[in-house]
Amino acid sequence: MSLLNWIKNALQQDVPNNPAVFELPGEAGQLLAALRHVIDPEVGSDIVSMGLVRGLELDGAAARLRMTLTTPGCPMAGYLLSEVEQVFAAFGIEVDIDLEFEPPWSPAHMSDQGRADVEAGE
Amino acid sequence: MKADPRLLLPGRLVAVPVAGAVLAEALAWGLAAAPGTLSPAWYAVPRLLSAVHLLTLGALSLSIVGFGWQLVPVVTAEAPPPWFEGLARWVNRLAAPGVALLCLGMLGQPPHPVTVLGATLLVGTLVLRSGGVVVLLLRARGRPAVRGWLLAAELCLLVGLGLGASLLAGRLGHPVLPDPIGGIGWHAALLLLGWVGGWIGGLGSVLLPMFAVAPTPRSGALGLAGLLWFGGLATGQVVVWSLGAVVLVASLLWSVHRRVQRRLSVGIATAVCGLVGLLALVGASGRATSPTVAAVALVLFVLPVLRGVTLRIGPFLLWSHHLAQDLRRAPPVASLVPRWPARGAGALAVLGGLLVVGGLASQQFSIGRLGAGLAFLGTLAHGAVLLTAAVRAALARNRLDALGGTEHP
Repeated sequence: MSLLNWIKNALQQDVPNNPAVFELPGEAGQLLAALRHVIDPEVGSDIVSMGLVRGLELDGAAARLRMTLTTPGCPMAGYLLSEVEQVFAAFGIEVDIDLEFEPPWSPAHMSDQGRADVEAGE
Repeated sequence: MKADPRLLLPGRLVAVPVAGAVLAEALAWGLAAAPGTLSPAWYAVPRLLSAVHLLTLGALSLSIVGFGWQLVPVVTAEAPPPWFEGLARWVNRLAAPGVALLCLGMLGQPPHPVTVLGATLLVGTLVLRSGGVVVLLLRARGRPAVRGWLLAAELCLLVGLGLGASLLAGRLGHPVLPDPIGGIGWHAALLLLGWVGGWIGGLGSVLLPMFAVAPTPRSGALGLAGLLWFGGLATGQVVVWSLGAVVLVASLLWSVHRRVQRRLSVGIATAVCGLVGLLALVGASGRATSPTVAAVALVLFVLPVLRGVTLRIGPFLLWSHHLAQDLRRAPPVASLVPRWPARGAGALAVLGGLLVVGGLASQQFSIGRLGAGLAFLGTLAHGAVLLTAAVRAALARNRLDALGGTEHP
């Protein structure tokens, strides 16, 4: 390995396998599609394309959503999650949102659509 | 884990000190541009001393105080306890008057007694603030490298303030330090590079990735940079500190290089200019005179970074407070900032800074005055940009209120 590549590797945070979820079958898939209307105002991409959604389990009129944020301590978190709850409420579903920050979010978790949205919004 | 809406603190806690910071910077450059202010014997010229402290205690300190109230909870990812807001309100009430009295008193030769009142107010409030910040940082979990940078920065603040008080006592006829000239160097290094630089290093790894949609710098690299940075400062080893600066800049610039957003916002671009200025400081350290090195640190490194942060975070916070309740219909954050005036303000500041440094280094003070004049105009433009963002946010809020209700799919 060249010195330059060694330095690049030393500076770059390791990125584990992408934990994001972009498609799901059945009703969960419909909810996931609806979540694409929730846009991160700073980035200009929806939370699904950004790779913030990590899991969705449905149990009748209840759901459990696992998701993350671009950074812990984001002051916008309350508003963003309120939007998510409203999306589920429109389907008559009460959602329990679990925020997780391990592994931390990385731009590498974004889908191609998410990256395109960011570039289009510039 | 649930999101805590109390992570967004009241907007005034940030807005008031940041407004004070912009005003202080404008006054500083105005003073510096006046005939007779810039001089090689800068410590002996009251107007220059006052201008320098308006930049450091005014522009830099009030910016860190203001943004710190919101950014410390972001770093700790925890809502602050109720006393934190109360502390913020009192510090905000007293810090700016303290700066004003201190800098006003410095215009006298010897300093006017009102300087003592200003120093007491300022030191007292900054120490109290530091105590509150340290408590929150120590209680938090996670981000050890970031918290380490900030904790070390606060230690530098306390020691730097102590040195400053000792220097002031000396100028008022009660010498404390055996080597006042050496004390000036430590005072400047600890506050500029230790405190302000520490906040830049610590928060840079959080804010740059957040706002440029970039990968987070490696915690180990940030930690190594911190050890070298503060270790070099504490021991006076310029080479060690320089290594820390290079590792820090490399980490942050590498993160920015790997961003998803192709075009950098004006704020991030200005902050990146400041990081390049840090490399210039590394180059100048040990090679240029102390006043020139101090000018490079102040004008080419810390001021551009803090200005860039203000340009990036200020509108974001305005948007969060005015428009976040209606995410679906709110205009994007970027629409609040008039792009070309912001770029113009940044360009004036950078060009002005370069001329100030060049004038000091070459002892061509007319060039330095020209630079200070451009920086003054740049600061006025910067203030106008922030004011425009505030007005646009308020108008957008009124439009949304007039539309009424909240849209859902």
